[in-house]
Amino acid sequence: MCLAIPMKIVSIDRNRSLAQADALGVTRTISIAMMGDEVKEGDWVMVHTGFALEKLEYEEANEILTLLQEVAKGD
Amino acid sequence: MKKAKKEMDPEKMQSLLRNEKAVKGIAGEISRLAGKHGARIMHVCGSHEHTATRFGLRTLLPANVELIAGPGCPVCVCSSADIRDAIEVAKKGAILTTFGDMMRDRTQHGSLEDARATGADVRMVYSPLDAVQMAKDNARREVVFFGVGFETTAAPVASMVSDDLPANFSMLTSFKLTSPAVDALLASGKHHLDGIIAPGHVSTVVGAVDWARFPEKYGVPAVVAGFEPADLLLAILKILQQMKAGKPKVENEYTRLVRFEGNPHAQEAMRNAFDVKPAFWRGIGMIPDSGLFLKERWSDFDAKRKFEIQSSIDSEKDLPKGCHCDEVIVGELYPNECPLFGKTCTPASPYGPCMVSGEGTCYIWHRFGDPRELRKILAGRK
Ligand code: SF4
Repeated sequence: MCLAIPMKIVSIDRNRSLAQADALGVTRTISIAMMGDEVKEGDWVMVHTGFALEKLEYEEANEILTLLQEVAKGD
Repeated sequence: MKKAKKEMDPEKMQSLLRNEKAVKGIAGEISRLAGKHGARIMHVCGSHEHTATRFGLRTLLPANVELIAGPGCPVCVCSSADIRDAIEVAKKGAILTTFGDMMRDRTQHGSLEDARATGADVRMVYSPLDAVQMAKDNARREVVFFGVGFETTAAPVASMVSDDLPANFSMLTSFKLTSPAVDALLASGKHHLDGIIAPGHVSTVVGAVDWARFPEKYGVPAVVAGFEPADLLLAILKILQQMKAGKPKVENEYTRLVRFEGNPHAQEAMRNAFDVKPAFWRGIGMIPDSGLFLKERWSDFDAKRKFEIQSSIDSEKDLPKGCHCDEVIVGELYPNECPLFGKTCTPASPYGPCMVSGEGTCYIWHRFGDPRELRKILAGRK
């Protein structure tokens, strides 16, 4: 049940702490009650049982991705 | 000037994290570092087991690096007393909502699926939000959400707990905390571990910091990991590097999602909704400070109060006769070492709780494991 999927925020209803989010062309209503004011349209969030758990940040991951890119390219 | 953020593309990232060369490169590094001593590493998440088995990661590891599955499946460790409570609530006329996995979890009192077959109104939901909506749509009925899970499920439910919940809504919960369970395994002195792979999504809530007790108390490295093959292998590599350096610490491999200190809003919601108390884990027993229970302040939404339910634990292990889940969930036995595996116990007809849910180790091995590889792993272990 810890399966979570990345979704992209399409629109936000701050008053009700809800958002419309999209994954592979399917749009759903999700709760952003655990995101404070930190989330905005266009952000990617990890969604579990209809709730955004946390924001995905590509920048943060760069170190690992760069390393992988190098290993993947190398011979 | 602030550096422009790169657009994050989960698909591209995923293909990189599954790239064969990258994965094999890390595995090669693991083999080099493993040396003669090897390592016994435990993860505590059904989704990690899914990645490990589905991608055959164990076949890439040297024989003396053992990756074992710990208590990482909430359905597996949910006590039959909790399931019996849910059945009782459903029989008292409420609409009982729960996640799909819980429908088939078997106890000596039957399952929720059985209860439904005999007329109880048991409904599957994808999200606890759906249960609240159902209460709003059915103002004359009582709607109960039976929530089972770890921090990833407990925090969302906690974030809903407020005076705004409809009066005809209540909940039965069986929420557990993951790190105290691993702590109890190590404290018992019966299990030797060289490293812990901390569950990525649980850690979005509790933070990598929640796993710091393992290096501090037991000198065991702990690394928070994501769910792609390269994530898991990198976590193993980091553990081996720490072992070699002799400096156990907590590390975060899943930086693209997990903050070291976790999600403060989620933590606050949990503190507002729940008290931390000892909880019963099926197959293990009572574990101190490992359960979340609705606070007195919210007792109006406590289904046990509303429906006057007294529960009690069934038996010490709380497992059907002959089922070895108690050993499987602490990593002492591989599923195919259970004589019932694939015979009387299959995903289509589960006998024990570890075969019910997509997060159960027995289920995952049956569904995704290559039997030849599984036999080889077993042979290497003896
Ligand atoms: S195979 Fe079935 S009976 Fe055996 S340990 Fe797993 S769940 Fe229990």
